[in-house]
Amino acid sequence: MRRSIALAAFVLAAMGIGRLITDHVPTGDVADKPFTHAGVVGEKVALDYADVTVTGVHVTPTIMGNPASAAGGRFLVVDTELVATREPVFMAGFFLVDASDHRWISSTRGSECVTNAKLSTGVRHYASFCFDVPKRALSGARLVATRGMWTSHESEFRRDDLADVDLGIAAAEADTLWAGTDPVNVKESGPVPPAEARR
Amino acid sequence: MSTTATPPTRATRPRRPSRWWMAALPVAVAAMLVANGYRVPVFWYQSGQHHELASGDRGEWVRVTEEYTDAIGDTTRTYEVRLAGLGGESTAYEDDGGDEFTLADGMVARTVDLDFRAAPDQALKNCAVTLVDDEGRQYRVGHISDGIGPSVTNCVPEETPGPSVVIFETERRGALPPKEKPRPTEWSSSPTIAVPKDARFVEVRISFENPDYVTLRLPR
Amino acid sequence: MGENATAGRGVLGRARGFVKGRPASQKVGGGVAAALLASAPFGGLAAVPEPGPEPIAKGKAVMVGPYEVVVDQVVELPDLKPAVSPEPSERVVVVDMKVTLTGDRPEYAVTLTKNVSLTGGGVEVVDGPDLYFVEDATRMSNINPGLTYRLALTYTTSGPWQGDSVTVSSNLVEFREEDKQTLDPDAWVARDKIQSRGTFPLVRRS
Repeated sequence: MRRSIALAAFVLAAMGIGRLITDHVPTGDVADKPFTHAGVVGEKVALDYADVTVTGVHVTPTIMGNPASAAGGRFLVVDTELVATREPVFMAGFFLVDASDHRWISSTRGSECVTNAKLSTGVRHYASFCFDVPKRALSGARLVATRGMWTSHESEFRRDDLADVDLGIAAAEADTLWAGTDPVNVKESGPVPPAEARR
Repeated sequence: MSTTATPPTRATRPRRPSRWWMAALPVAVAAMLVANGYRVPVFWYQSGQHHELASGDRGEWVRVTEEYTDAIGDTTRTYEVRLAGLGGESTAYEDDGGDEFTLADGMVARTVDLDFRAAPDQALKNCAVTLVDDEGRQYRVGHISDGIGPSVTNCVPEETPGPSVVIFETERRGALPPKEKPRPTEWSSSPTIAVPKDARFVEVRISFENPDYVTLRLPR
Repeated sequence: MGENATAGRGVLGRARGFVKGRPASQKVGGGVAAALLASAPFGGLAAVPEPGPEPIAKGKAVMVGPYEVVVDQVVELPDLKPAVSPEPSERVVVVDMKVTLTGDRPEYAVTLTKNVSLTGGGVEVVDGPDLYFVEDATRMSNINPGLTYRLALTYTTSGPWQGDSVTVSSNLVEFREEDKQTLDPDAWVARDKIQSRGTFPLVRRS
């Protein structure tokens, strides 16, 4: 009798410990969390496989082109320079994260706006990503750049290096940026510096 | 619990603790690893250059027979390749659209001089050529995810590249587009790869499909 | 007759005795079953009819998975240049609608396009549906939440639509924390069931 009570207590304790581990030990974080490298505009973020630099940030209702593209909210355009360091890299994950950690996906609509980058080792690649977002996504927005593409379950970049670049938009600036009407001419993505690009 | 006063019967004898799980545990661990093992071929082995088919030194002919699968079924490609050497230091290069641009940041376009021998019916378009330097860095041209440089004719003559890999069941292996002449049985090609001017290279790799590749070693 | 009555009494009496001997819970259950049986001629055993699809009407919001969709009109055109340019014999049927992605994460447009269908025209859909932003005729492949777009959902049909009305149907699209088919967590999964349906007059333009 005492033996079976002890066994029951043992089983209950084992189940309890299991529950405590799954509830309170961040196993998911350990298994899935990417390695985040924070940065700011104009500063190179060195990842394991590539260097990521955000060179410019624009907010506009219109991206020039033929035809011009109109935003449902506003386009937040992020210009980047990317260099693969060790081997050719295909980077497919470029998205915006706002102050409340919500993710926004880059648009395929704007002329010359891209959603991924094929990098050849050592060759500087220029790429602009355009996010069609509502006003609440502007202040405190960050660009996240990594290899895995966006999916609803975010498993594509687990345990990968990830650049998290603060785009430097203060809450007070959001209204002014939102009110701006100047169209933006997005430069062609590729190895040609934007200053020399044809458009 | 029974007391020691009465001899234990079958019903009252304390049972020995079960030990079968001790034997089962390694079996369970092994089963778990096997069940997860598909990740190794899918996410690692097949996603990069991990299987060396053949190798040779500069100036040496290397004979390669590579198995692959097309729309019709399993087949092979056979060719011989020889690395003549590296050359070129131009900063002019081309993007994937064929438009010229100037390489910056100390990068130059290095030519890889290769000699080939193969039957005209072998599908040798779309090869990737990789230069590996003494730090292990890889510079590549011709792979489907390379954004710059020529992609189709890195290993074959531009005018007579020969047949493509069959992608529809109705096609015939080794068939050429109308008016295209067959590829000669021996030819040379000089793909160019953007590399740092000061990098020292140890090998060239020829690859048609991951994970297979051929290594051509350069003298140190 | 008397013998029969005695036999009947005997059967009833035995039945009464049997019922009396049952516990209270079984008596109640038996009563309910008897009542249900008695209601059978009035439809008591008929299957409850499935609730029909929710109506789609002009200007009324319906949900297609995470998307809030307001259909304004359905239009047939020879083409919708520069977005859609079909063969001369073909037509483009456009569902003109306002779409807002609810929730707090982006979604791909296929979750919407794959789950809306048109019927009633006696023609085949040869291309599409595709989704275009009306303001600039650019194709939508993904959508961020919290923005309302006027979108054209375009179907290229094999020929002119027969008749003057179009039935627009949408599938039930459910959120699953764990999808057993793909093993993907937090996925929108389409079910083979019409959730909303409505008929619109076809507006013809040339």
